[in-house]
Amino acid sequence: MRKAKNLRYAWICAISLIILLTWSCASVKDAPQQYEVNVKKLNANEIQSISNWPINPYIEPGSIIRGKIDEFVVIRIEFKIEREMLISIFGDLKDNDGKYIPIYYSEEFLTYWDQFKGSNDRNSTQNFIKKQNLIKQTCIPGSQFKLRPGQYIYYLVFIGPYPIKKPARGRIDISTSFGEYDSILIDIE
Amino acid sequence: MKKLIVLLLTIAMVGAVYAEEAPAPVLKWSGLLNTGFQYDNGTDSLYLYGQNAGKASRLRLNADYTNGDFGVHFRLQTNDATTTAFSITHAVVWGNLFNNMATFKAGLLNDAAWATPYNSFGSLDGKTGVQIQVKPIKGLNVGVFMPLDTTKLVPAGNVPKDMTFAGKYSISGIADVVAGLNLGVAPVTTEVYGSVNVTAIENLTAIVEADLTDISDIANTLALDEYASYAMGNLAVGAYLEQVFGSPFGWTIAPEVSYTIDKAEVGGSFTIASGSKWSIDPYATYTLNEKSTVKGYASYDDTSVFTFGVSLLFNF
Repeated sequence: MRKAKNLRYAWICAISLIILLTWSCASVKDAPQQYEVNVKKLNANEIQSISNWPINPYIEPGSIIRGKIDEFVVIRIEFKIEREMLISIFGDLKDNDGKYIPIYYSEEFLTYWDQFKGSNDRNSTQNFIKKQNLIKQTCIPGSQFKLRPGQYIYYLVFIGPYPIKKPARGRIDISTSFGEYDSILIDIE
Repeated sequence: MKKLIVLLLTIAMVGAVYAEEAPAPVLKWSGLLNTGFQYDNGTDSLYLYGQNAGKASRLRLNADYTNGDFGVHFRLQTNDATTTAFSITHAVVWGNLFNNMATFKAGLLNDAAWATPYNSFGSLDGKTGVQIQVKPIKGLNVGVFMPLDTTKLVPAGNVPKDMTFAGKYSISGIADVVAGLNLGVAPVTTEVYGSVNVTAIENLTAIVEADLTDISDIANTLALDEYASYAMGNLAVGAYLEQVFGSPFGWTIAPEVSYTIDKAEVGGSFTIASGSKWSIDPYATYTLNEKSTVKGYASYDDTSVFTFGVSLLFNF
């Protein structure tokens, strides 16, 4: 009687172990298909090709007298998502003096451009709205955001006073709610 | 005693970390000059003309002092740069509170957080008073503006009668929605306004705005505005429409087209409006240095007036 009971326990344990192993193997196999990320630092030509000059928010503002006031470091991040997930993005970039260069997520980037609104004529107003909408559509929305299945291209912007002292080094950490993690080194010479 | 020392050391270390991360105070100076010239065959004269200031040149000087979550913004401006008639158009003290969950602004304001994007209905630019913005969830910004007239003493009981309640909700990847109510006491009229700015489709700009003024009066006016533009590479086509339901009813239709080649943009619009009014308005702009532009423009309208001009906008 006792032997039969032990056999039953052993059987339950074996089945549980098989289920657990099958599930964990399936998870490992599924993981790469759920999420794919490609990260690239853009050069000046690639930044200009994002959009037409009057509405492109990724080209630094400047002035006739002082030239460029700030310098942008623009990183293109492409996601391929198979299941809805939460994405977390953190960046850490420092110039050659070790000075921290902050990320401007969508909201901060909109506020940044507000100070350069300029003219009130119809054409300028329309271009300003288009520039704002392009930020809302393409700039990384925040340090955490949700993505539905699909393919997305976002831009991550670091802004420092011009000129950023080179070489500037740092990294971008991207993680998902399913446990995937990528750390990408940035090296700006 | 040991515990107390550990606690004090921990507080000191946390304090040191925060002290190290706190950004240094920053004072930024900037400015703008908008000038140019214009000719029209109605007066047959050539005159100084800035597109923002009429027959004059606008000169603007800004100062922005930021110390962490608090700051001061100041603007001196003249709409006639040939004189020294400068006036203060912004004088604001602002602060972000509770980890940016709330923002206050006080003074002669510069705020457009709850303004509609196209016609700036609800803009607080140049208004005097106190504004409190609350941001309880991501994308939502609601609050109140209390106008304070500096030229006379307003009884405290009258302040709430003239307040503005407004808000903006940015639904990520869908649209920005703005709505506001200005209670208004004479001579300011009660006003309700709102807008929807669609952000769901890349290269498409689509905005609908409404502004209902003097709602307590039977002779109220409702203005509806629609703007849509679609970019196909360097080419963009669009149209602006307006309907004003008042006395009399008015309307405007203005299709437009523009083409961009690197830093240059050429375009134009054809405007037809109620009362058999129409005009053709071509233009060309060239970006000199990111935010400094030269614009050449012309206009011909139903009264046979031909206008052309050059407008220069320098940011410094």
